Amino acid sequence: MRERIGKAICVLTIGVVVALSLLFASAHNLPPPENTPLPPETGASIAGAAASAATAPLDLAKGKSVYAAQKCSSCHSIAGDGNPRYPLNSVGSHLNREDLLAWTTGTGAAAEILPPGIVKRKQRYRSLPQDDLDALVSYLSTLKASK
Amino acid sequence: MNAATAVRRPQGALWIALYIALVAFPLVILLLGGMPKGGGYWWDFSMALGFGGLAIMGLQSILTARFRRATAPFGMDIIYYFHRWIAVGGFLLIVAHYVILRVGYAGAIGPLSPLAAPWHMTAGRIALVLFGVLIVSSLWRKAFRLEYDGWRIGHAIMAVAAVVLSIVHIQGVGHYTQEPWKGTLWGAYAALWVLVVVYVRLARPWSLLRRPYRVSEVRKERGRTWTLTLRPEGHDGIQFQPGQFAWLSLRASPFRAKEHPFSFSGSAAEAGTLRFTIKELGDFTRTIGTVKPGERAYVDGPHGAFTPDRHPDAPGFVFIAGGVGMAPIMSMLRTLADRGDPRPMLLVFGNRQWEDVLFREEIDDLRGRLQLKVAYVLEEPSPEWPGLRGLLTEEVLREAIPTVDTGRLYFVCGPKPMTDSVQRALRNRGVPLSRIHFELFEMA
Repeated sequence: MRERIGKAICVLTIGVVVALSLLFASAHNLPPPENTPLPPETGASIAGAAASAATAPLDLAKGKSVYAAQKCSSCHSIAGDGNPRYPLNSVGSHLNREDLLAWTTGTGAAAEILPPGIVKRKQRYRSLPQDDLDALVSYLSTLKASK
Repeated sequence: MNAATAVRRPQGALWIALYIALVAFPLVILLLGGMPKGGGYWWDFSMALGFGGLAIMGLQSILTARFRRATAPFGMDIIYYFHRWIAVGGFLLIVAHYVILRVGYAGAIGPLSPLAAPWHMTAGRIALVLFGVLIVSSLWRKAFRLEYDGWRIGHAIMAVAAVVLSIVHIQGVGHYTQEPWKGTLWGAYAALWVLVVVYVRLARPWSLLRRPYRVSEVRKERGRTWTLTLRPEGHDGIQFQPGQFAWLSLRASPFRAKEHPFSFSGSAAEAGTLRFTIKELGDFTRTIGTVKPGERAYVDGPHGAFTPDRHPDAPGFVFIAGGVGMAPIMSMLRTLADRGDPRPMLLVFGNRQWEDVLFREEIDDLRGRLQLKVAYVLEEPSPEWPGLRGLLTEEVLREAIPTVDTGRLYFVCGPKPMTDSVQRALRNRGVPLSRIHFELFEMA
């Protein structure tokens, strides 16, 4: 008797967690926000955008390697690859080089908007070599929304 | 239904509701207030599962903290089983958290190698592995031949490490705990876990230490079994209900956590004195015979819901015991006799041989003091044995209990295969499950 009740409460508890998790996931993903991040299939055209950009291929490759080395994908995604919370798919469309640098290093206007914890986390990128930062910004500026 | 059980049921429901509320707490906090931008349905689902799974794992220490008021409505044995079942459930939630990310968002969780991965991701991975090791080493402890005392200490250390690493993982990721008030609430929740561990490992051993007992008698019983008699030293002792049990520490400080659960076998009407009847079965119990009068002991109890005292309106009792499973039943019979209980009782007692029958002489004596009938069943009797033979199977029980009174309460105690088969037999003969009582602890 007690064994049955115990097992039932066990199942109930797990059920409550799964139900709340579903509710949580729905609540977080209900209405598509104004600046809808690009769905991955649009992101696929990034390569085309990159090709048309006036960035030297060498710089682009270096920017990508800085992106990878700094593990940007643990917080950001590009074309669906990485943390989907903060997609960078079209970041090159709305930010100029100066802003991109500010958001990368948590300085200027970005420092006002970002939560303090994130600004602190981004501080370490300020000490990157200048040409690494330049290459990263160049790479990010090639990420444009397709028309 | 009597007043006592009427009070107990809603109390039980209240404790269950409190437990589920504590499990749900982190998820409810996350749902409230400003929400961070969504990361996709599966992403957020995975995150929530992680929080829920960790809440279950963190609360495991509360379940086994032996809070007497909270466990009394259920019985301590079922709480320990629940601890086991829910651990598997919580672990599966955490595994799902990881698998969803591994499959759907491999880029985000980064490299596996601890050299390349951020420390908080490595912390999460180590915690996942530790939770897995905890479960495997507990469910299959005997198959791995892990010695009980060592396993218990390892279990506690690994569990604390896994929960702490998980909290480090969450703080490191930091996404949902960014808002200060959420961070504070989350911190308070984690502090609750720490408090429970401090209580279990420090405060309770300390209070046990201040209420010591001394062994006053070590008596050899039939069938490689010993009865220890304990008397409180400098305090009044505890009042138990017959059929309950306690965790006993012998030759070790309560801080060492080298304690073992045993049923009381003495009468609850005998003020102060505690008796434990223990068979030589495991590593620890084999040494029971070497205990000397005068040795110090510590007793954490009473615990358990296996007692006729919770059912004062029962019209009568049927006790079914196997071997040393007689210990708690003996406590019931002795107590009921001391109280002059007039209700009809039947004892069915299975043993290997006549010479092994624990408390044989005293049971004869009790027949004169109670409305008690006794049916002995012997597994390997001598040829001239006139009574029942074999194990306590359905056929044997049919002879031992010719007419089943479904109104009586049935108390069953013995090795697991025996209690399983007895329970089946009684149900087949129309005894409602709610009238069959047994402890779920294994005897060995």
